[in-house]
Amino acid sequence: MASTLQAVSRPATAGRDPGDRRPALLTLPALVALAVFFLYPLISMMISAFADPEPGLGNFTWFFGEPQNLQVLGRTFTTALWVTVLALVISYPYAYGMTIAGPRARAVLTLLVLVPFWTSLMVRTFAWMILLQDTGVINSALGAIGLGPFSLIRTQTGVVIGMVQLLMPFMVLPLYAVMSGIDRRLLTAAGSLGARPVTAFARVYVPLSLPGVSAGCLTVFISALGFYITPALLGSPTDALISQQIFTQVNGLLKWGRGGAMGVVLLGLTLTMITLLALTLRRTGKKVTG
Amino acid sequence: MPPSNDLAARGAGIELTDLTKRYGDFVAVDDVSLSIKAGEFITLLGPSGSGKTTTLNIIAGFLQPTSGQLTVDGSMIAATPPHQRDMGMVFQHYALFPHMTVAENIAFPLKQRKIPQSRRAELVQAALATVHLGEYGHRYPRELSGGQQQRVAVARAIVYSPRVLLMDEPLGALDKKLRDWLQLEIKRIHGELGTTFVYVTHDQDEALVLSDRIAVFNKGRIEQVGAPDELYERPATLFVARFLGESTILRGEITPDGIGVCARLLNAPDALPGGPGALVVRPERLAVRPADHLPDVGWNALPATVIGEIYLGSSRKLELKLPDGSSALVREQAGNLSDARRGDAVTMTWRVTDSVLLLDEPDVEAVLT
Amino acid sequence: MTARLGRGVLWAFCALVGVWLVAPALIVVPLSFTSKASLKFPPDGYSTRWYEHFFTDPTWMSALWTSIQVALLVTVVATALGTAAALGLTRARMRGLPLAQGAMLAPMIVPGVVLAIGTYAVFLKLQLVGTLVGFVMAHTVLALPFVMIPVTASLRGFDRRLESAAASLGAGSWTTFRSVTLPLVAPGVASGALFAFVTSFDEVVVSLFIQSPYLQTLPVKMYASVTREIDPTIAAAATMIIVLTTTLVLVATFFITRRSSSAPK
Repeated sequence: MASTLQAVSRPATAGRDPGDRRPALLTLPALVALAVFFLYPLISMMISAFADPEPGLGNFTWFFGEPQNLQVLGRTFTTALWVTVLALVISYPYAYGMTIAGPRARAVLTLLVLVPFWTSLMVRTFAWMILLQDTGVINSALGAIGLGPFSLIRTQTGVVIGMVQLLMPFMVLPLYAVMSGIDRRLLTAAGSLGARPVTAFARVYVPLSLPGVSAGCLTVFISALGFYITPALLGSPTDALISQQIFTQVNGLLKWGRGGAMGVVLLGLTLTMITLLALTLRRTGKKVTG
Repeated sequence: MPPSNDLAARGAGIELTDLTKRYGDFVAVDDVSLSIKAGEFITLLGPSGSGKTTTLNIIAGFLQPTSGQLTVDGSMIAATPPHQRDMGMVFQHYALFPHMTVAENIAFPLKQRKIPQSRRAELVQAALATVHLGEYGHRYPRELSGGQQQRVAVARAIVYSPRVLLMDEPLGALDKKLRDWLQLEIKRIHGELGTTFVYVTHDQDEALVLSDRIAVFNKGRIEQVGAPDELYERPATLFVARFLGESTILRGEITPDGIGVCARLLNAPDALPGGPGALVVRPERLAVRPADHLPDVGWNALPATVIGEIYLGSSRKLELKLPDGSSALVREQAGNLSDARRGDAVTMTWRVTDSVLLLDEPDVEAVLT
Repeated sequence: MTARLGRGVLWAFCALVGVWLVAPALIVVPLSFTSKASLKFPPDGYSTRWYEHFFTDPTWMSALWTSIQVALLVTVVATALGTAAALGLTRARMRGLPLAQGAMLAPMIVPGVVLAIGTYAVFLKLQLVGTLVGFVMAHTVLALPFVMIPVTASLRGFDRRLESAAASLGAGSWTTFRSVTLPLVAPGVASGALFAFVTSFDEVVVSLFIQSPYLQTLPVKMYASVTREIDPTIAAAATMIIVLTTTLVLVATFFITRRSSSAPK
């Protein structure tokens, strides 16, 4: 029955015959480029993880056997978590502000989010180095009101502050996309049914915005897991994150296998997070639409 | 009327032979054969999903038939891609190029044919004049109303004097008044050009107004092909009778002497093998007489009760209830109205030769509603 | 009353966040005009000496030139590959296409360092380290998803009956693509090209691995300078990156919005 309906609806598009495969050839150049310059590198990294310097699981037993490595993994995870939570806490009201603002104010708020999008990561990280330095703007501002000086550069705090700012567009944009689709009359309706504004917001608006929250958190979290430049420049070498360790293993110590093993762990962690969040996203999506 | 337009072309004859188009198990077009004469205006009429648009798309070359043949002026064109078929097509939503002005849209097919710039401008002007949009060449499609866009689409499709013009529900998106006017325009353009027009619509009134001949489609097959009056007066199937115009349908059992309806034997204009049948009469062929009226020779009669009347100015519609509970529709012309009122018991009568005897099709109502 | 107060707090918060979002990028600009050899902010005096240094130092100039060359080539290659692929994905009906689409978006989610060490290993084998081709191909793969997304979106919004119309009017498939499809999806392709340029121009992590002392991109040179000796030339370089990308984005936005408003639907 379903196939019949499909067949009926297709001719109406008046295009070429259905089942046309020739256009698929157009994807070939891109797929070849991906195979050579994306897939092949990933595979060769995995191979070295299992085969360098000698075949086996040696690199993984080394990785999970050294407490220092597990510390790095844990630190990477908590840093990413902190960055995600802070980015959400800051972005949620901001995205909400974007939805209720007038067209002009909204244009300004949108532009402010997009500016970091266009500004080179390297440039922004460099700017944070200047802001966070011991004699930098933040410390002199704090000093003016009698606080500090705090050491911010070469600390985890500095890394988190920098990363939150760098990743915020990735949180704000999905939040705004979902929030702008929420019918705000629902809040009025909840109010007319006797809910206080705060209750109405928490019970009606927040659940409807959850798809945006999970999409934003997913993007920020996985980006934070693999961040290299910012922790390398703002953090302290003794508090390194996993991507810095990978860099050191391969570039400094030429331990390809160990670096590869860490890469496999990081990639696995990233893919697991994506799968987990995609599953919950699908579930909340179903709840909202059905 | 001889063609009287600069863009006039000699129309081509089109021959569809046993065309079939399948999508998996679904047969969209089922063994359709149709002979379209050069220069004629033919309409493919049918409900949605009846295969008329698929047939048009096969003629245009957008779809390949699963089997069957298609010839234009005697030569097979199944292997010719759409852009080499030299046919014009007007699409349901006009499909004007939004990034080109009206003039650029109309010049587009001329450019493809490498027609020199100066000649192009002349032809564009001629096409715009034909659709009465002479001053609109520099505008963009979005600056025009729906009716104007539709006329640009026609201009674009006729500017290169194609020998066949295909139109896919071109008036479907317009309101009634505009549609009525544009129907006349299309008919005029057909007269001026001499091109073969193949027109697809689900609107029976449109088909009746425009066509030299109509092919009625149902479930992928052609039910009947003929001139509008032929289809209206002599429907070949119950589907055609129901789809084209209003009709009163008296269902019953066909016997060698006629058809049994409401426990009476009615005379039929012709004979059919026995079985479930239907006697079809157009409402304006029915008359209402007093209850005690006796039918003349050559007339049929049935007792009925008036259950509704609708006054329409030029005519009056009466809804009657027959003894078996079915209903009948009668249309009386103004100046010739009976005295029957709602609730009256009457005799419904008609000339035997004004009725058509057809085989019953149990699912015909389901297709139509 | 509380509602109004709530709004006030919300706006104040948004304003603060807005400043926090753009301020870091902006302090780099005055800093680049400092007269001292330190990164003290605000600067004590102003001069253009760091720009002079930037434009006279051959390593900075060659890094800038490499970056521009690589980014332009990536724009061409990634836009061509990405547009073709988006066409194929939206037009063909075939099993496995969703998989292909997923594969093309994958570079967005793989951590930079992971891809970087793999690319480094492969490039050592293929002798692509420190070559222009190497940079272009490595960046192209990263830029592909950013081309695919806007181009696919505009192709999905494109009315394919226009192509049928063009064919019925006598245009072959290439002419139809060139004169009907491409002009109407141009805004999507232009945003894709812009994304591709910026992606390449900004890329650091993979570039750090595949650079050589003879061929460096601007961000790599900046990274190297930042880790070695901090000097305000970096601020001058950063300012020029900001100016370049901002100009590019503004011009492109202007072009794209004008195109799409002159050819809606």
